[in-house]
Formats: sequence, structure tokens, C-alpha cells
Amino acid sequence: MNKQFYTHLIDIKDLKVDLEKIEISPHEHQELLTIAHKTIHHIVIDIVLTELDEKEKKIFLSNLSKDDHTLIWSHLKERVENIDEKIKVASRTIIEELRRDLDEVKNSL
Amino acid sequence: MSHGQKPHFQLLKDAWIKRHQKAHKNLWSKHKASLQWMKDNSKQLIVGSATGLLMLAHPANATTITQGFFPTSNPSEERVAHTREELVHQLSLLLPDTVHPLSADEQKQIGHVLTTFFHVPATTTLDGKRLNRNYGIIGAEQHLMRYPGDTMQTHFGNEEDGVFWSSGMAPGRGAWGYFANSRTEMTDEDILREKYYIAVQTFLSPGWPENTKELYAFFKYRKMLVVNPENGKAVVVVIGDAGPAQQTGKHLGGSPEVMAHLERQDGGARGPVLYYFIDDPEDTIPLGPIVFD
Repeated sequence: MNKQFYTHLIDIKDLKVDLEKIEISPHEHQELLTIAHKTIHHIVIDIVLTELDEKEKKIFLSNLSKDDHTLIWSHLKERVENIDEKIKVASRTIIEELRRDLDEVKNSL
Repeated sequence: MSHGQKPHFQLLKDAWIKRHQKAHKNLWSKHKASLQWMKDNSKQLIVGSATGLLMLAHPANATTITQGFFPTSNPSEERVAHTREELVHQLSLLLPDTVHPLSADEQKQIGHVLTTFFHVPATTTLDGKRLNRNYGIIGAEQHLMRYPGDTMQTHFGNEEDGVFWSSGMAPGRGAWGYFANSRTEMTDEDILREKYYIAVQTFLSPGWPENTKELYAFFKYRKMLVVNPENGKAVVVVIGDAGPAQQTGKHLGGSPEVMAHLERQDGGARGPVLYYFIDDPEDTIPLGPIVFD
């Protein structure tokens, strides 16, 4: 997928490994990864927006539209303490939830 | 796999789609003001392929979530050029030679293409409901009375729209009555709904005799994507009327504005269009002609 401003903070290696262990086609594998990426994206954006007031939210979204990662980070680091840690924690949580879903599916069949 | 059991893929996809929809709903409910601002200013904001924003803009469902929102992870695969010519070409490979109802596979593959090219979640089934078909011959409809007393003299807001005068006005109201109670109560949304409406054969939809009331409510102003596969032109419309009758040989009808944009005519030169539901519960996708990036 396209590199996002937070891509270096998230680790989906274990999720990918788990996916490779179930019987699905390459196309299905790709489709599921896409869903996972989209979900993670929503979670990360939620975490960021939650830390900003309305005015700063618009600045962030405007920077996001330009896809300028340097600009995005310089704005966020100025406004939010430990934002990268907050993104890491949130993404880890959702990835664990996605892995749990996968385990449940594997065990149910 | 035993009979009745879903394979790994489908079960996991269902579970992950639910998680995604929950995350999307949560995001929009917490930050609606700023996300709405983003949507309203999207033409100024979005530059190139800013997928970071595109991924937030549309709700997803099982049929659309993976369709074309961002490039594949395989760097060796080239991204499809999203031009009208490419759309026409791709549709020509998927559509049957004659105009008849699409098979389930055709519906799915064409849905993928439409969603990818137009960035709208296009689907043939919504909330378990569908029309009798999604590919058919379109005929011309007349203007509809938007409010009691609406006439051809009051119908057009500007000189430009007057080119559609010759289509005339239908003698009765549409299947769902007036769009507004009066001229003063008529909103921009009402105006756009009448301008970009289609008539579809609701009475032939699966389950209509048994669930008329529910389906009648479901189809009212239901948002759809209509595409002329011969030139790639497309319009976001609403279902504004029921028809045409089966004996006409036509399968749906388009308002004068819809027909004009699609470059479709009635009579001897009539031709087919694709018409798919747009899954848009947040009502973020505007009505009217839709263009490529």
C-alpha cells in the first residue's frame, strides 16, 4: 500500500505471517491485507484527531491531503506530546484484535 | 469444506469488515465537523493521489472495501490509467455481447471496475435488496413536478437549464410524490434530486409483491451510479420514479439532464447503461455528473 506518514511506526509483520498460514488465494490475501490497512488507518487518524483542537485538525487534514510527511510530523510534534508513541500503542491494539479474529476463524474450522 | 460452511477467507473478511466499519463510524462520529470540512473542501485540498484522505472519505462495505482505494503492494504492477478510454475498454471486456441481466460474476467484476474508476462504492446489492437488473436500455423521462404548482415556467433556475425545456413535464407526480411541499420549502437537495433522477422498474425487483412497503421506502431517492459503457460518461443519481412499463422494451428511464450527460437518446438510437447502487450512508457523494481524477 501507499506509504503513510505513520508507516514506520506500525508493525504488521506478525499479522502477515498469520495470514500466510491460512488457506487463501494470493488475491484473497491481498484483499484481507487491504482491509487491515484501511482499518489501521482509521484508528491512527482517530488517535491524531483526538489530540487536536478543531483548528489544528484542519491543519492536519490539509497536510494529510498534500501527503507531505515532513510537514505532517513537524506540525504534530509541535502540538502533541509523544504522538508517535500514542500511534504505536493504538496500532498495536488494533493489530492484536485483527490477529484474534484470525485465530477465531482458524479455530472455528 | 462441508456444505453450509464458509471458508476461512469469507469468515475473516466479514469479521474484519465489521471492525473497519466500526472504526469508520467511530471516526466520523467523533470528528464529524473537521471531516465534513475536509469533504466540502476536497476539491481544493486533494492533490494527486492523496490516499490518506481518500481512505477516510467513503464508508465501506463487503463489496467495495477493497476496490481500488489505493495501489497494490506489488511494486512491479503498474497502476491502471484511470481514463475514460481505459474504463470503456475494461467494460467492453466484461459486458455480454447482448443487453441482458448480468451474471453474478459479471456484476461483481463490473462493480470492481466502477468503484475503482469512480471512487464510489458501487454495488448491486444493498442491505440485502436489489433491482431486477443492473444493465439495461435507458429511455428518456420528462421533468417531474417538484412541488404542487410546479410548471415548465417555474422549473428552470437559469437560462442554461432551459435547453431541457423541450422534454416537457410528466402529467402526474413521480412514484414518491412531490420532492417538496412547496416552492418555498424546496431545498437545493430537492432540486438536484429531480434534476438527476432515474426511473427504475421497482415493481420487478426481487421480493416486491411480498415486501412492497419496505422496498418502496428503500428505493425512495436511493443513490445510484449510472454509466454509459460506450463512452464512460457517468452520473450520480437518485431513484425518483418507477417505470418504464415492461412492454416498452426499456429497462429504466433517465431525466433530461441525466440523458444529456450520458449522451443517451431514446427511440431508434437508444442504448444500454449500467446502474449500480452507491453505498453512501453518510450521504457524502454529491449528485450529478461524475468525472475522473
